[in-house]
Amino acid sequence: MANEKILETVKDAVAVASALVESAKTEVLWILPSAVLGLGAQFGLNEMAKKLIEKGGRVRGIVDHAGSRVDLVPEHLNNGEEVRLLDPYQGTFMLVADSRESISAMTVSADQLALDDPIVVFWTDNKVYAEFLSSTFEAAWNRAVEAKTLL
Amino acid sequence: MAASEDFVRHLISFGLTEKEAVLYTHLLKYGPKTPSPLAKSLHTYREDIHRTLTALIDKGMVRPSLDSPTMYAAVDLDSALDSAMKQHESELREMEARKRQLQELSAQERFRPSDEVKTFKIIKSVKELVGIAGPLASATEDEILIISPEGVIAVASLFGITDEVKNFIARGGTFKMLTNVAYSGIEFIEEALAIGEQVRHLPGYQGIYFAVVDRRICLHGINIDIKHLSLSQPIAMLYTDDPTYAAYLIATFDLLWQQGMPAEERLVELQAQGPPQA
Repeated sequence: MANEKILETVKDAVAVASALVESAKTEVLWILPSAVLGLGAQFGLNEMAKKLIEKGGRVRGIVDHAGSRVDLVPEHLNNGEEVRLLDPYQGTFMLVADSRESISAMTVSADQLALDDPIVVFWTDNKVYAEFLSSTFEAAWNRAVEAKTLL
Repeated sequence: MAASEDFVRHLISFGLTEKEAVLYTHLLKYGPKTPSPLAKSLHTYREDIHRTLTALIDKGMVRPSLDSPTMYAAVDLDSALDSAMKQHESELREMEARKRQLQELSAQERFRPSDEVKTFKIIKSVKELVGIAGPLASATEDEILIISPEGVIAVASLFGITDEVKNFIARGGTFKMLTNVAYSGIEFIEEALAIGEQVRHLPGYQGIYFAVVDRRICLHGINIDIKHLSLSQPIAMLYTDDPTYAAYLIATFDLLWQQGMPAEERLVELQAQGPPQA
């Protein structure tokens, strides 16, 4: 039976996201507002993604082009991540590891960056839910533009 | 011989063991006997015969004599079968009593087996969605929460879901909806308010669609292309009755509801502004 939990602070969400990327073996998909990229860099998620790619894994990400921290995208590209930009993105933000474990949220804003800020994030290892998020990711991926081209 | 075997088979199907059926048939056929000749005739041990006789006496199908040595006689068939049936009836009554006790204990323990079975299903076409949404609206008891892009409201009206919602509100249900109320959607919002829906405006909110029915059933779609919606169009929408997922969507809804503006106020604002300039 699949497990699931609601995460209620930015701190918990970052901790779980970190565990997801660190434990991933083949693939990580993410859609995040650009403001959140700073948190990822601060808590070592970029390094973890780099290690996964060095072991042969694939990391694809979509970031809101209209966001305030698009300047952080090159670091992801330098890691070997494939990044695309969408302007604007109005769907669910997500991180999916190995088509199984995921976290997702609909109410992430640029202001919610303090670790103790309240947030509503859903974590699960349900494969059907991961499939649902992945199909959503692929639809957004097809509409998005290569970051390399735009930056 | 064949008739005897048939008779034994019927006794077994009536609830006797094979040994009981054979022994009872033997006593019926050859008359009262002591255990020793019975053991010899049936090619078994006396202890085995004693055990089987005791079971048949308990069932009221064999009667022991009072003299010595004890003779065992088969009770006539009708009386024996009546007696066996009474025993089954007695067992049935005991089972009924135990069933009631278990039901009472289960209620005290508050077992909730239905919560253990959760469905996560991906809906892949508008046709499939309409097939689920209509019956769901008519089966709803208490509450529907919806976050929806403006275009979905027009689709709901088109496929008759608005009528189902109207009936639901008339039955005393609560319907809350968050959407981007734009000038082009005034007609649909007025229709929604007229049937008793509670609507709030979220500026520019377009990407996400979800509905939570009775705090349990969830429909969640992301980035549905409303402009090209047709029955055959592929979509990716999640259906689930998972309570944790419902709690996640409800918490998200509550957060956004607090940020929303009542649709009545938004309509006044839009009518004051007039149609958007080309």
